[in-house]
Amino acid sequence: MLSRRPAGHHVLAATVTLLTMIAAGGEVSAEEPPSVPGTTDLLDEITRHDDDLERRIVGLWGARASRALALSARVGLMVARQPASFDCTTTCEYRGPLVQLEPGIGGGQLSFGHGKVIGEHRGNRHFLAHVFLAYAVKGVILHSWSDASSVEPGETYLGVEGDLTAVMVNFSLGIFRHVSGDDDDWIVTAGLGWGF
Amino acid sequence: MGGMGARSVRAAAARAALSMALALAWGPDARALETDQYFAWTKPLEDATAAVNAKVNKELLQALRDANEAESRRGESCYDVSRRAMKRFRFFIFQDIQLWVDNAPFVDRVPGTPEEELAYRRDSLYPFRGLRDVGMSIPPSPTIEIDGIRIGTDKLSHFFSNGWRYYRRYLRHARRGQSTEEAEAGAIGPGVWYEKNILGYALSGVFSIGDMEANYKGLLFFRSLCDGEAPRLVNEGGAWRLARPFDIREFVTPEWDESYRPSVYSPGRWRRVRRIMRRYCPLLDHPDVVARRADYARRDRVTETDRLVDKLVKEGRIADPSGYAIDTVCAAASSGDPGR
Repeated sequence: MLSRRPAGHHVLAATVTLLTMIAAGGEVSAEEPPSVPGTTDLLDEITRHDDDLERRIVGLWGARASRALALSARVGLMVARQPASFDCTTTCEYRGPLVQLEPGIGGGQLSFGHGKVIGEHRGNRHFLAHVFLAYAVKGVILHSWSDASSVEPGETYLGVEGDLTAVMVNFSLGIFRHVSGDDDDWIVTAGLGWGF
Repeated sequence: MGGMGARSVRAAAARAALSMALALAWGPDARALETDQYFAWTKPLEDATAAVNAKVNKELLQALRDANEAESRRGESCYDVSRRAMKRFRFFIFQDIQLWVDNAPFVDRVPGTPEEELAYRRDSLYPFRGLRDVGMSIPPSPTIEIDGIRIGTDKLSHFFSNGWRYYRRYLRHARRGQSTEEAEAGAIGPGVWYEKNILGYALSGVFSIGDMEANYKGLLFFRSLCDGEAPRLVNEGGAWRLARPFDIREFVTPEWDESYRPSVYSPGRWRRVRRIMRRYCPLLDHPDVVARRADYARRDRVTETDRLVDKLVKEGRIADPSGYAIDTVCAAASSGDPGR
């Protein structure tokens, strides 16, 4: 359900009292909500609503072509806190730590980071069906395992990667330092894909 | 993609990528959201004024508490405090205030149920059409009612996000010694260019006068925080106070309803939109529609946006919006004229 129709008395009472406040030119203290009946009630109710946050875990998915992994698919989880009343059937925001696992033809990577995602579930309870806007900065451990990768197979890298998704199109850019193997010390990777 | 060749797909993807890059490069006020008030025409809506006002005032008060609490922030100027307030509403494309209004149970919306949402995406003026129509890849925003005026929730994003951008440009012009009118014109001008030439036609094919009006009113809101003889924010003994609470009714006008003040469309977009608009012709005689449009006409005033649009039309820079009005569309349809 996207919304509950609000009680009419909230609207009428708050509107009347707000009008009264404006007409009286009353000052509103920064330390406390407006001390006018009705307006105070609704503002208090909204404050309680906004503070009543629920921890949620949302699934993320994507696929991309990138230098290091060639073609890969990724799955991730983000932990976020949202008002308990938000069902996020349509556009909703998630912000918090995330983890992603991404196996590919050329290699694979495990990422830990923090990000923000604006998307919708469209009836899928566990995964975001559409990502409209998202970004994340992640620490990544990357390992190559085939010639499809742009680096020699058997190399392991640690690095930082940035991700940006806009209307499902994903852009990524990372810089990595090798921690095992004989390849160059640093590599820069870039990717283009779908999802987040 | 329904029959698109590989070349068409690549061309569409390139166009989409370029448009998105331009939109993202512009910054937080990039517009990628449309709305359709026709869809809500005969659907009842409870007024959301009190909820929106309470939410905005709650955020303003929290910004003032933050400004007053830390010793290091005590010397903040009114501009600094208003910037602190702005951050509570603004993000990138999707503004926090709009996301709240789109989800909170305090606000009545159309669409208001998952079933209605599916119908909205299918039947609105701006249905999703895949990569060929990247400007419509984000669902159109729902409709709420403020003081008897139906608006898309995207207008709140325009109000706070673009309004802040306009305000910063206004201040730059004002510091150069320009008059209020000159500074406002300097603030609004680049936004019009951007709406028309980048997002308006390149990305979505829609140049929304309602959006322009919301942008301008956002400028007036941010000016009201610190400017004039009765600013909303006052400093007493080193602590900031909200002297006048926010009331969205000061800013919303009938122009915010895109079914009353029509947008201007690119030719390709108009071909699709006109076909869908014609479905609403039978509703022009519906008592609710008649009453609302009569109320709008009674409350309608010539705004700065109206003057700007008239100027653009006279200069031949945009088409006359009256050609895209529902009355014009329906009159042409009933006379059998395919051109409009």
